[in-house]
Amino acid sequence: MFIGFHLLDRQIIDCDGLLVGKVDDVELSDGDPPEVAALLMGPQVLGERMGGRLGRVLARLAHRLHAAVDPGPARIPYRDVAVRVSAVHLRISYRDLPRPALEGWLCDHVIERIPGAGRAGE
Amino acid sequence: MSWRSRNEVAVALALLVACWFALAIPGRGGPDRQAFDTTVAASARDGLSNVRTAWLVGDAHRGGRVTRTYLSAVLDHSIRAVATAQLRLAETPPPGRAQAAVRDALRTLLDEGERAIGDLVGAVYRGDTAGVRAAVAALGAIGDRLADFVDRHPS
Amino acid sequence: MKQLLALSLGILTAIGGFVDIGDFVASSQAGARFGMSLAWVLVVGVVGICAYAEMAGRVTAISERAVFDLVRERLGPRVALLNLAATFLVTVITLGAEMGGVALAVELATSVHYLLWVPVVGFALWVVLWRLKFQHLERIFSLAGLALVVFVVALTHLNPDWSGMWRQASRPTPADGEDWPTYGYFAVALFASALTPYEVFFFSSGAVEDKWGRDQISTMRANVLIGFPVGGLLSLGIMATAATLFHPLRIELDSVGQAILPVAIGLGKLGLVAAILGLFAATFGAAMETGLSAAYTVAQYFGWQWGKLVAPRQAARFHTLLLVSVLTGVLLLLTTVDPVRLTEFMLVFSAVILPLTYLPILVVANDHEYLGERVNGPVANTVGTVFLLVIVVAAVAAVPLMIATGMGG
Repeated sequence: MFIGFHLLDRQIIDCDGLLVGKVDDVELSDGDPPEVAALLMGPQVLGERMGGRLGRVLARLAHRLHAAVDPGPARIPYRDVAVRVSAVHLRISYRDLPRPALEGWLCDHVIERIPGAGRAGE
Repeated sequence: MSWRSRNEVAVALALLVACWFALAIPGRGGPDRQAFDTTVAASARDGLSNVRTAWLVGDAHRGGRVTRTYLSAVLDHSIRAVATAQLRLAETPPPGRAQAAVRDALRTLLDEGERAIGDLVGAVYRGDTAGVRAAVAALGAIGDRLADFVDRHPS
Repeated sequence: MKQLLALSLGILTAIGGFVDIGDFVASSQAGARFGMSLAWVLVVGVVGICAYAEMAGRVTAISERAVFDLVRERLGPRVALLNLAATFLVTVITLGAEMGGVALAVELATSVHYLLWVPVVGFALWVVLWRLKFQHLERIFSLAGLALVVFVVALTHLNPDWSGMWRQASRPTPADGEDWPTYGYFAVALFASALTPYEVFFFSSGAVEDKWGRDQISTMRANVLIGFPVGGLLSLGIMATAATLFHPLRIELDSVGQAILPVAIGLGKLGLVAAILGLFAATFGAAMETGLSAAYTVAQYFGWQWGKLVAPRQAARFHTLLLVSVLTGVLLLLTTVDPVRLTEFMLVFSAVILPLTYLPILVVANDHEYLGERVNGPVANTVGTVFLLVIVVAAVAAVPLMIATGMGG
């Protein structure tokens, strides 16, 4: 339980140093004492964890983003976590994870349509 | 925290904010009188600031110290600000005869100021050196009279 | 040699980047209205921004994380979300005010009404944020902002009454005919202008992208502790020219064009052009910083990819936020709200949210988990705590003072 507390709300960074998201919640195993089984990500998870009116609004907004089937929260098994310093560093790349709904939609409908979307700052 | 006590906290907070605002708004005397005096003082100060700005920038133009684009942008702002002050004054009815006289005095000053700034703009546009000098002198005098007015009618 | 160059470049950038539309409006208005009797507020504000920027820089250099990134870990998701909402709102209003400043500077150079320039400025700003690696351009604008030094030069040509100014500065009370609430209102606005919240977010996010480490701490300290006070001198110069020219004539300032007039009178056309250029560069640079800061805060709260080191398609949410922020700023200005009025509003609301920005920085700067042995020493903590008290007083007083004085009447 205590480990979970120190993980919550930390930045998650992939093996290439790219930002993946925050630890919006954790999944615990059934063992005794329970251990962290996976990190959960996404605004819906965050909204559900926060609770209250604010949390419900956030969760509902996030839920609307999914077109048809809700794929559930992005789940990163704890074995893919490499090191944990001021952020959580993963052994895997962000490409191995499902693409966040909002990012995907905005990329396809807005950003990709603007010339120069594929160019990093120089 | 239960739902009920949370509501109570919200009500208490709302009351606190209401008190805060009530304290922030100073006590007032007669509503119309106060509003009129405030408007007169504010319009006079706006008129003074903008007439004197036009006077300064006109004088700087005579010394060749400003560019044309800058000059016209500043004069344009001044003339609009004086017009706004006049409009605000016209929208506030004077509560008595004495106040009507005060309003008329200020209106005359603002009219003269607006006209003098207009004269300055025209003279600059025509390249009329004597006209610029006359308009700047007029603005200086009107500015002094507005300053007197502000002294006599503090908010 | 190269290090020395980098150091002086950093200091010059900090100086030129210090002044933005908030400093410009607050300093010139306060000078015109109160002479130098509010100069002490600028001094206090500069000490505060130095103390907190140093903390933010140190936290970033050691944890490799931007300040707003850490706010959520320390305050929890709920409080941090409310903090985010308030900060984002004020930052977007600030962005609008800065863009208004750019448009007004262009108006002074072309005499074409500023509203016609607003869409152009918005588009140019967005293109710059989209295409270019901002650090370089931001630095260029900051350096061009150094042109505002003409205010200090012009001051010496206006034959100021030095002893009279010193007398005003050493008696911090309202000038003749003014009351305490108005004095307090201008003091709060001036204080907020020195401590505008976006500055620390931008500062620490830029440090993350530049990959600062422990080795950069001393450079950062030199930039902050030399650059900001000298930058504050530019603000003081703007205040002093207004105090010299306008205060005796009882002219109150409500436009940017007026505030530049002392330079024209003191130095003529060349000085005037330099002042307009300096204002343009300072506000455009600040518009870039505020636009990015608005997007940074949201992206850092949710952990999204942000910054200019990756292609826009890899940071679609961040780039959409940038686009939306710039668009909101343009729409805000197109309501025809007076940009100077907007700046005054922005300063009051900045003052209100100052504790939300600066309290978390003080907390994190004392956290061994992030900083190890580099946590705040007694000096930083004393200064930081005293400032937090001042900030809270300013935040509580801001709205009542604004209402009581009708925004300075």
